[in-house]
Amino acid sequence: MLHSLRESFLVSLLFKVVVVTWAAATITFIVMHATPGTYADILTSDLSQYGVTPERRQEIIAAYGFDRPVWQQYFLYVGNVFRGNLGMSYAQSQPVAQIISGQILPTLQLAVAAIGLALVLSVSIAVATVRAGWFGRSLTSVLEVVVVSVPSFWLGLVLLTTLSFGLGWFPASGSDGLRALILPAATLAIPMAGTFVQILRPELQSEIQAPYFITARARGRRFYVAVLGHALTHAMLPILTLSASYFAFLVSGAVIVENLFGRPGVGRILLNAVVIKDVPLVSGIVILSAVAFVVINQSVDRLILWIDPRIEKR
Amino acid sequence: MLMLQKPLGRLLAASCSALMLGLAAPALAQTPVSGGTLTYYQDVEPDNWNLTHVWPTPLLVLGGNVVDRLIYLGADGDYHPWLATAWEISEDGKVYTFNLRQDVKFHNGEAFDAHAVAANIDMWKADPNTTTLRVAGLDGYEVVDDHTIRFTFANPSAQAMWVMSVPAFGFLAPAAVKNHASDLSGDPTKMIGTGPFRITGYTRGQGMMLERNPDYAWAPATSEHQGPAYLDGVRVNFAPDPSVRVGVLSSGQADLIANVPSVFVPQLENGANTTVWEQKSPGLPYHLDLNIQQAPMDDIRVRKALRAALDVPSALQAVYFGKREQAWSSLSPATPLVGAYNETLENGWSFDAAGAAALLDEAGWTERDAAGYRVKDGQRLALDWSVRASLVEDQRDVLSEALQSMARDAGIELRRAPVDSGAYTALMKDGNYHLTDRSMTTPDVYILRRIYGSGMLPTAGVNYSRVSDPAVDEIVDPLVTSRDNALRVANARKAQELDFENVWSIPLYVRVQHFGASKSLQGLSYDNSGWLGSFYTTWLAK
Repeated sequence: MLHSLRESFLVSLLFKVVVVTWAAATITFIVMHATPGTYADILTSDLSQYGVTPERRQEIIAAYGFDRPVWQQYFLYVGNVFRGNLGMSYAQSQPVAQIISGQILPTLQLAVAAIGLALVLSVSIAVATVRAGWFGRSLTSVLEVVVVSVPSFWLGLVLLTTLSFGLGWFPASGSDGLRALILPAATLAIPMAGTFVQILRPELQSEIQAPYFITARARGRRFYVAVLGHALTHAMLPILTLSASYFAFLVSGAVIVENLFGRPGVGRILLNAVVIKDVPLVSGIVILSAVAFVVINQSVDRLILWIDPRIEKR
Repeated sequence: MLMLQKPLGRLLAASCSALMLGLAAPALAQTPVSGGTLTYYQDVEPDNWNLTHVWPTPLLVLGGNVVDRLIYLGADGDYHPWLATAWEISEDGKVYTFNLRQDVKFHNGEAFDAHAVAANIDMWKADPNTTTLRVAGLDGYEVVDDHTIRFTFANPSAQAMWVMSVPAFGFLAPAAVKNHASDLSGDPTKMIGTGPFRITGYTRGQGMMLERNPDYAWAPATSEHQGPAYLDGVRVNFAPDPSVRVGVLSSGQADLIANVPSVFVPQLENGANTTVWEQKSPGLPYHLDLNIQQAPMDDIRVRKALRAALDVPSALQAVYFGKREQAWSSLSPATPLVGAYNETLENGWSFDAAGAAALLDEAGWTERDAAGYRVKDGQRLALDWSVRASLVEDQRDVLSEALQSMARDAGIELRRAPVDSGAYTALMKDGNYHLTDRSMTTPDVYILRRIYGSGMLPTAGVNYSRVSDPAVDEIVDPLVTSRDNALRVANARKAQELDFENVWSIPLYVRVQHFGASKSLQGLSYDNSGWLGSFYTTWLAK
C-alpha cells in the first residue's frame, strides 16, 4: 500500500516536472523573442565602436544561430533541453548547467540560512507573545507590519551600515564562512519572520484552547512545555507550506540581497542574463526555479501528510 | 603610465595635467614602498573572462594586470616597445613585422616567443566567439624565426596598432592555450600570461585574487617603475551597489573603489582617511546625437533651436554642482592624439531663448497647443529621445529632466524613453528616434568615423546621427585608414567643425571617472585607452 503510494507520487511528480520544464522553456523562449533585439544585436552594437564591418556582423549572428528561422531555433532548443542539454550561455560562453551548478551552493546556503533564521525568530516571538496582553500583542503586530513592509534593499543597507561599516562585526561582502552569511540571511529572514509570526500566533492561540491542550495542562504539563511539545507541531503546518514557497522563490529571487552583499548566486546571474538577452541562461534558470518549485511543494505536502495524517481525510 | 589626477589638482589639471603631477599630490614625492595587499571593490564583474571575446572595460582593466602586449600606448599618443623591441610596417600598411623580447617568461615558466604568439592566434582563429581578430582585421601570420613574427592585415588601418596595445591582444602561455582554451571564459585562473600579476583565486559573483609575479622584469621602457610590482597582491571584490562600495571604503574595509557616483564624491573628499581620484575620459564626451534623417530633425533650424534652447551650464551647475566641465565639441579634450581636439569651438554657442524662438518661427513651428508646445500643421513639436537604460550613469537621468524642462520652455517636447539594450539596438537600427544620448571612452580620433561615416549607419554601426555624405566620408575615412598623424589631426578638427556647424550632436559635458581611495593608496595609473590601468605602479604607504 505504502509502496504503491510512493510510486504513484513519484510518477505524478515526474509528470509535473516534465510539463513544467516544457512550459518554462517555451514561455521564456516566447518572452525573450517577443521583446526586440537579440544578444548578437547588443554585442555588435557594443563592438561597433571598434569598427565591426557588416560581414563580420553576419559572422557573429551566424555564430549564435540567429540566422535560422525562429521555429527552428525553438525546436532545436526545446529538443536539447529534454535531452538534458541546457545549451551554452551566449555571454559567458560556457554550458548553462555548469554556470548554474557553480552558483547553486551559495544560493542554497543563503536560502536555508534565511528560512532557518526566519523559523527560529518567528517561533520564538510567537511562543513568547502567545499569552501577551492587549498591549504586548499590539506592539508586536505593529512591529510585524513594519518589518514585513520594509524593502529588503533598505533593511540590508541598515544592517550593513550599523553592523558592518559601523561596528565592523561582519564583512560587508563575500561568501566565505558563516560570518559572511549572517547579514544577508538576516536581511531575507526578518521580513519573512514577520509574516510567519502573523500566521503562527493566531494558530497557536487557537491550539492552546483546543481540548487536547487543556487536557495536557490538566495533567500538569507546564504551559510552555505543552506549547512546544503539542500545540506548536500543529500550528507550524501552514508555516511549513509557506517556507517551501519562499525557498523555491529564493532559488532565483534573492537578487537584491545577492547584489547588495556581493554574494555569488543564481538570482544575480539571472538578472544580468535578462538584461543582455542571454536566452539560454535565462531559460536554464527559469526551468531550474520552476522545477524546484514543483519538487519542493510536492515534497512538503507529503511531509505535512506524514506529520498530520488527518489532513488526507479532510 | 599616466597618473590619475588627485582632487586638489582639479583646477590646475584643466590647464596643465603634466605640471600637476608634481604639484597636486605631495604624497607622490615619497619613495614608493613594496608590500601589502590592496583591497579593491569593482562595480561590474565581467560575464566572460576570455579576453578576446567581448571587450567590456571591467575585463580589460583586470586582464591588463595579467597579460602584456607587443606595444605600449604612451601618454603621448604614440606606441612604444613592450614585448616587441622593434617593428617594421610595410609600404602598403598591411604587413607588420615584430622583433620580440627574448627574456620574457609566462607565469608557468614557459618562454614567450614567436611560437607562443602563433599558438594564441591559432586559438583565436579556431574560436567562433573571438572578437579580437574581427576587430583587428588580422588575416594571417608568419613565424619568421623564434623571436620574429609577421602579421598580415586585411586593410591598412590606424586602428591595428591600437588593437595590438589592448589587453584583448594579450598572450597566454602555450600550455594554457593547449589545455584550457574552452575554460578561459569561466575560469580566469586559467589566464596564464606574462603580466606583473597572476590570478590565484576566483569565485564568480564574489571576487578574485591577484598575486605579484616576482619574476616580472619587462615593463615598457617608458614606465617610471621597473621590476616586479610594489603590491604583494590585490583582492578584487565585485559590489554592484554604490552605497556598499562607499561604505566599505569609508569603514576601512577597502583601499580602492571604482565608479563613485557624484553624490558621494564630497563625502569621500572630506573623509578623514579617504580621497577621490578623478580622470577625464578620452573619446566622445557625453552628448546628444540628433537623427538628421528623421523629420523634423532633418531641418537644421530645429536642431539649432534645440541647441540654443538648452542652458547647459545651468543644468550642469544644478546637477553636478559645477563638477562637470561643459563639452564644446564631439571629441573629448582628453583624447591622446595631440592637437586633435578642436579648442576653437569652445564657447561657440550659448543659451539663447530668443534665438531659439526665432529659428522655430522661421521653420514654421509658429502655433502653440494648450500645453504650450509649438505646433506646425496640427503636429506638436515632440521629439523621441531613446535611452539605453543599462548605460544611464552619473545622474544623467536627473540632467535629462533639466534639459527636458528647458526644451519645454522653448515649446519643444522631449519624450525621453529608457529601454533595455535589445530594444535600444532595434530602435537604432530602424531609425525610429529623433535623438539619443551617450558617451564613449576611446583612445583615438577614429571614433569620429564610427559616428559620422556613412558605412557606420546603425544597421551595422553607431552613426546615430545618421550622417550619410560622401564629402564627410572623405574627411573621416582617413582617421581610420591613414597612419599620417598630421592628416588625422587636421581631419579630426575638421570633422568636429562640421559637427558643430550642422548640429549633428549637442555636446553636454566631458565624462570623468571617479575612484574612491584610502589616503595611503598611491601611484594609481590610468590607461591611455581611457581605463583604469594595471596595479603595476600602485603602492600602499605604510
